[in-house]
Amino acid sequence: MVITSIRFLEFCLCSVALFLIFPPKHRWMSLLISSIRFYLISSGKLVCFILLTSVTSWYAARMLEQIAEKGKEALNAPDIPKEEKKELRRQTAKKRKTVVNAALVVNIGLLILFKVSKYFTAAFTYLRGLFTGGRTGDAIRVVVPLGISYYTFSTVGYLLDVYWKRYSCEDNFLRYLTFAIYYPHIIQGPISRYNLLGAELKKPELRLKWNNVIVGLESILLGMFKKLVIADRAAIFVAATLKRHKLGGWIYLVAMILDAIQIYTDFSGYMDIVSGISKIFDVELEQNFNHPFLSKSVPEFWRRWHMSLGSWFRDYVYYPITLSRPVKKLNQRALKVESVHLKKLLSIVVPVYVTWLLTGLWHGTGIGYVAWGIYYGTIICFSTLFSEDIRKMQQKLGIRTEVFSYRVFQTLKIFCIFIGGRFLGTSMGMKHKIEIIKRILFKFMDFSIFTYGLDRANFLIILFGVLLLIRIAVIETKENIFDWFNRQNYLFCAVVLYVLIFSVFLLGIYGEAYSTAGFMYRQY
Amino acid sequence: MKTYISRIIRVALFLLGLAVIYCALDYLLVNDTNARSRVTIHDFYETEDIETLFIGTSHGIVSIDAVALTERTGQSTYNLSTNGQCPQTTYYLLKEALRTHKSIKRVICEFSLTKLTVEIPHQPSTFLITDYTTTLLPRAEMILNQFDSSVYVNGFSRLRRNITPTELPTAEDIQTIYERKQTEKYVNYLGDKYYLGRGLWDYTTDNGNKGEIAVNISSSTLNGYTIDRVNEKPLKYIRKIAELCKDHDVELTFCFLPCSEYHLMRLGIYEQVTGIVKDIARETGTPVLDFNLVKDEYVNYDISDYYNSDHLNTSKCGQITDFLVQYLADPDGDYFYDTLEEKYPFKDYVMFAGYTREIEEDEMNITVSAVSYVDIPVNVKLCSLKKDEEGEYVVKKEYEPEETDRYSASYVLPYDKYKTYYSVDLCDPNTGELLYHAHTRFNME
Repeated sequence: MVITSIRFLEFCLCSVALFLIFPPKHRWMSLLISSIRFYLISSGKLVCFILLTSVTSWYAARMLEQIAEKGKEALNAPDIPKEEKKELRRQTAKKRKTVVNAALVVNIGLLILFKVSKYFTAAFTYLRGLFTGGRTGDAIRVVVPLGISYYTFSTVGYLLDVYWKRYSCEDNFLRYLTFAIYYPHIIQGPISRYNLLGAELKKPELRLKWNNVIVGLESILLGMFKKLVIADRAAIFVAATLKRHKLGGWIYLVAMILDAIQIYTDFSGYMDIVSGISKIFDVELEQNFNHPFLSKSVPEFWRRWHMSLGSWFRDYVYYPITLSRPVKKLNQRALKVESVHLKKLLSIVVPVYVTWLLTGLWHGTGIGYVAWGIYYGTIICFSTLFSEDIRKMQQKLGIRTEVFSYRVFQTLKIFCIFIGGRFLGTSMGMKHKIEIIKRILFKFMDFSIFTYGLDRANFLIILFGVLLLIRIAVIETKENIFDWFNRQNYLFCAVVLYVLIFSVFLLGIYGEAYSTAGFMYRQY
Repeated sequence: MKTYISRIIRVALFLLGLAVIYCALDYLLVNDTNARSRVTIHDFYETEDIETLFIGTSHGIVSIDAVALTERTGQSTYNLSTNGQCPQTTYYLLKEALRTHKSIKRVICEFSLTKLTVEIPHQPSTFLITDYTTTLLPRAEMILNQFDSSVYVNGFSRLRRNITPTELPTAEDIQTIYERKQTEKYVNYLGDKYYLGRGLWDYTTDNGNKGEIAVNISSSTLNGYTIDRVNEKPLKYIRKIAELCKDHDVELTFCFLPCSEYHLMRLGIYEQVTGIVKDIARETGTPVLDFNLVKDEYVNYDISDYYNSDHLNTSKCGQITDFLVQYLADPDGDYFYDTLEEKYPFKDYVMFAGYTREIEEDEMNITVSAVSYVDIPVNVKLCSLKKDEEGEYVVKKEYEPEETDRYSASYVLPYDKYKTYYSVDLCDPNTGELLYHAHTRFNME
């Protein structure tokens, strides 16, 4: 069920009606019922996988707490020798580690299994063909459970947080399940933390508040504008050009720029929509985008783009690796190295590359995603290694870094790096990628951009949309855009809303000739 | 309390503004200045005391003269036919008609055979009705019952439907639409020169054939038409129509309007398909008026009576009306043959001109041949036509074929969005005798 479809709108209206039927103290139950219903409609029998993940992670977390409590009780017993206490602590730690590892194997194992299933099915089909004289038959298709990447990470995060004693486990399975299966975030995130989303869902009362409804609707409208007017419009040009051969370099360049615009507006538009829906239910979802193209550096970019994924990998991969014994040993060896840069490099190279490789693999298992991970890992290593040198060079050259022109340069730099990463990670063959680069460098002249599905007016619409988003980004450097907007005069608000509503209604790429295209990050 | 009221007022004002802007955009961007159903349906609402209602497809639009029937029978008659109606949409339109005109005592419901294969109604044809029925409920009922949710936005909003998001209207387009909507013809629902009143439209006379028809044999309408393709859904709605009329105490007659021998020949299973409907008619006690079985002494058809293979020229209305007057006065008369064979005894030599058409950018590839029960060798002569000072068609240019064989000839013609008329002559290759002559634009059927 695509969230920009009429069917989803019908579903949401039913959810709101159900929400209102329940008393405020128990409205989380209505969200649970709606979420289960959503999952059943979208994925049918595959709901068993999310239930399995939820049950194993919840149960494992409870066991972790129980083992810890028992261990604590045993330690508090009177007159225990020191050696015995040490052994008790060791036993407790070992038991907890066994439990958490078992749960991780089940949950992450399922995720990996589904991620690599296409390779197994391709191999099976090939082998079948070998034994049946070339008749491969119908290709076997494995249907991946909806949102598996997202809910697995959410539940694994919860499990690890309990393991690391950041907070207590949730005793009520149904409340935990509501967190795991909560439908606004199940399709494309954000990857929620239990202490944040769980706390929202556990509020004493969930109410339909006027301000929440207004802000929620505004957020949904903004998301629809980004998705249907900008992203899906840009997609027309991208689909018509990037995978074609022998076009002019300028065409490819424009396609790459529009591809970047498409993915940003598609993903952030989705986030606006689900945040808006969740807001109406009086539940705040975590922010997932914070105007990433305003970043000054690549590390900052990844703290602003898909924030929940970045912070997840930081907290559950990067930091644990950095604090692990092998890396600590490496750091100790690095202290003996004379070169400052080499010292820094040795201390960050393993956690950075492991984190970024895994981030790439989270997106997909192809070689492109591995290259993408290495690309960003390398840039971040360089950025960290040479940041001080770059700063000194800028001072020597008298480059002013606090001025508007430098901010523009930084934005363009980040945008170009982002386009490079996108280009690297796409599923086009290497030969075609090389052809595109050659064409950009040596056969640039081809300005017939209005012949690939979008005319001048449509490019202007995309430009208008991008300018609007830039304006929103500037406002949000100081305050939340909806707070700012709702403080304006009624007439101004009405005009802006009318423009957005009719833009989505008339200019949105959906309906008779188009189906509402699925969101891009749904595939992950 | 004050805040509560203030919020309600703000929301109400906002929604009002939304509605006003929507209506303004609808007015400026939707070009329905040539929509026939707009005039037909409005005229229907305005006509009082209708006693006999004819409802059906485009076959009825051009051949049922409700004005003449009203004068000659003394009963107010109306022809509520629209393009592409299928039983599913006829049901809802009839429901609306019976709701607004309690005076209706008799309904003649015409079905197109090809629409009996349709499970989901053709969207544009359905929206021709829903755009102009005045109340929301019948419109909503039709759209919600016939389509899934992906169609709702287009179904309920003709504004959205008329906009292709990537091909936006220009300022000139908007100005043209606005100017046309200021004309008396549009404002007063007068229809153009082709509207003859009470739902009859004569777009055939000016545009119609002066000779026999040529038929587009690449048209998919009848290709692969078999008894298996008759769908249960339209049949279900035919029964619902019968039930609806029974509930409203209205006399119902099912009707099939005439098709050319070519159409019947290609269809091949006319009696099987109509037989299914006639079975339903028997079940429900509904008489059937089958114009393809009407005895020759009442209505006789010649190929030149047809605008295309299954639509009559409006000039044939007179004979149709004569017959209907008789039939309505005495429905139990002996008007019909029992079989199609009696109406059209098998001729070992029935022939039409047929063509296939492929459009490539600004050219049409046309292949002309004879269509019959057997392959007939012919020489083809193809000429474009123009109107002379007296309004008669005369030859403008003769075209040389790109390729010929014993049975056909292929041409490359300029693609002019169907405006040019052509004459097609099929001649015996041995004697040069003219076997078949047709006037056609290459868009027929």
